[in-house]
Amino acid sequence: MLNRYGDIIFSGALAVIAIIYLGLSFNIPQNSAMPYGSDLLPKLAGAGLLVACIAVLIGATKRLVTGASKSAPAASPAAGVEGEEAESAAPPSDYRKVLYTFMLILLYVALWETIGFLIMTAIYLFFQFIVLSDRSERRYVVFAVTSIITTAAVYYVFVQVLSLTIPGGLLG
Amino acid sequence: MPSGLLEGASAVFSIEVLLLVTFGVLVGILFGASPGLTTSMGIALMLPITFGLPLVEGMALLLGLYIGGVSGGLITAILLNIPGTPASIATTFDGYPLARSGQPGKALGTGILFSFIGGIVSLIILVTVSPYLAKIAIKFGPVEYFAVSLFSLTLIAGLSGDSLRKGAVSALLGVLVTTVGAAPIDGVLRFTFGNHQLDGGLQLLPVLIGIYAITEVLKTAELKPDKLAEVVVGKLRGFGLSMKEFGSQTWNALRSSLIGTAIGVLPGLGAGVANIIAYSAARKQSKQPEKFGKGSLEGLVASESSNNAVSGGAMIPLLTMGIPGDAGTAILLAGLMIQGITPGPLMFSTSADIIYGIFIILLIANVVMIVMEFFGLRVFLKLLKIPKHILLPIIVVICTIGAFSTNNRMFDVWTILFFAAIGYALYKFKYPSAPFILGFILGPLLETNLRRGMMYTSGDFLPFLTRPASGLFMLLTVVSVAVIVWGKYKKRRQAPANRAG
Repeated sequence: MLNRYGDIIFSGALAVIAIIYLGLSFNIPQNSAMPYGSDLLPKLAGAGLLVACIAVLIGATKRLVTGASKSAPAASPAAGVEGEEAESAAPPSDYRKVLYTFMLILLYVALWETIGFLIMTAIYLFFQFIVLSDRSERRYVVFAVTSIITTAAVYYVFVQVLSLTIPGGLLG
Repeated sequence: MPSGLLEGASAVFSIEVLLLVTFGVLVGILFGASPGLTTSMGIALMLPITFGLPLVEGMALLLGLYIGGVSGGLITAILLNIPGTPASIATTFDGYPLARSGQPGKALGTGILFSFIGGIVSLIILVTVSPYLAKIAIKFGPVEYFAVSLFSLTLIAGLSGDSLRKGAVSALLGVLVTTVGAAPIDGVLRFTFGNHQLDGGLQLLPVLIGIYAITEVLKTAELKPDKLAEVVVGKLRGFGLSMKEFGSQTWNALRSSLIGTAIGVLPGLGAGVANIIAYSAARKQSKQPEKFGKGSLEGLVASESSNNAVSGGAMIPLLTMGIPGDAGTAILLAGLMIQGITPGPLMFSTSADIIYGIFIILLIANVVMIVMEFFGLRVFLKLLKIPKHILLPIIVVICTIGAFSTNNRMFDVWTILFFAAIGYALYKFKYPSAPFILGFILGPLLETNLRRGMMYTSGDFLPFLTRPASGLFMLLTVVSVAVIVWGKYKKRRQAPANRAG
């Protein structure tokens, strides 16, 4: 399960990053006129991160070893800013959709300058509607029309009304 | 001070501003009410729009969003038992049962009314207290600012999630990210690897959009939030409360509002915590605790007045010291900075008109909120039905344009994607994201003030601990870490006992 090894892998990876960062921070040139230079905070933060990652690693390893089932406390009040729903009866995670979504956005942005912002926006919207919806919710005509109308609306509002620039390669 | 009031007022009372506040509140309520859309996302979304707007108009939009967002959650909480935001979790405890027992109008009316009261009470406190705090904060030097920033960051790291260690990792990661680029004070290039796009460092706006908007889209791709079922509300006559019932709730409302305001002031705690604490406090002090959970007005009042009261409280550290207390105010800070304003104690003397403008906008926003929720309830319910798979891609498009328009370069758009991936990873491995953003924002403050402070004390760290104000905050930092760790330790010791038998 992701939970069991995930913590160890992720915090381990972060610890490695912290070490690399710390190492690199020794290369930061110092201005000898001041008691502490621009290397101070990176070193402190890097060291702190390393310590914190190790702390998480230790905790995760302990949990793994004692085999205690990690039942996540439901909606603990200290979840503060994030909206975390109780995961006990959650629907299955669809990681393919996540990947597709990410790739779609990546492609969308990458092709702005080549193909044109407006065209790509319409294309992106159409496919993203499809990816995010369930089979039962797919209405291709509605999606196509919405893509085009939204693209037009976005152009109008952002370029004409708000005078923001959009990436080059406009249609026409 | 009165002169600032007049200028502030005259700037605010224009059609554009009023329209924008209204629009902001509308969008805020929508984002607050929809599970799957967060207030932070809404504000982050609107930030690029404020580029093209003058100062007061931009603030009107953002503050409207902020106020609307905290309140909107009550709609779905009461009608569907789904809190639109964590701020309305406790509202489901009594709001939903009350609605189900055939009194949805009363539940909604009460929630809306006391949301307004909570907001106003905290606004009054904000307006009266902040000038005095600003006078104190003006005397703060870099040493004090370092201590306060450290305290804020520590608190947020410790309180934002279940794990102090993960919070610390998240916060430090955020600080790390800010070190990329030209260093403060001496401008040394750090961690740029020769890539000149990084010389200016990573921009706050794309990072925010990446973590708060795009990550949410990825989360939705992974787990579709529940579809909102059909709901019938019926007629809303008055607020559904009798005068007697209203009167009986005043003390509760006041206490809950004060709790909310105080929690708003503390960095790291937000409306999500306030509503639950206020609810518990109301139950403890109630003469009819057995009614809680079954549709008790007291519980509903406590929850909704406290969560809105957080808004005024959170503005206090933001305006008096420029230190945000949670992700929402962090984004507001970004909004102010976009307009070229760095909030802090000096604002109260040099730009008093802006401060008063903000106060007045907050007041208007609260009023618009209550009017809109009261009259526009049915409209909201219709709007909430727009499917996420349509809404979110549109949001992505808006976000990418927004990121591009920060500096008119593609680099910022790639930044969004990079941080969306980071945000998603943080979420997947259960690291809280608020400390990351606060680390990102407070990082430069911490560094600049640490180094300036050190120059001031000629390289000696001791004054950081011995000067009264900074010493106090350093002490508070240590104490709060100890309290948090002890609290977790206690919880862990209880857990095996609970599992036994």
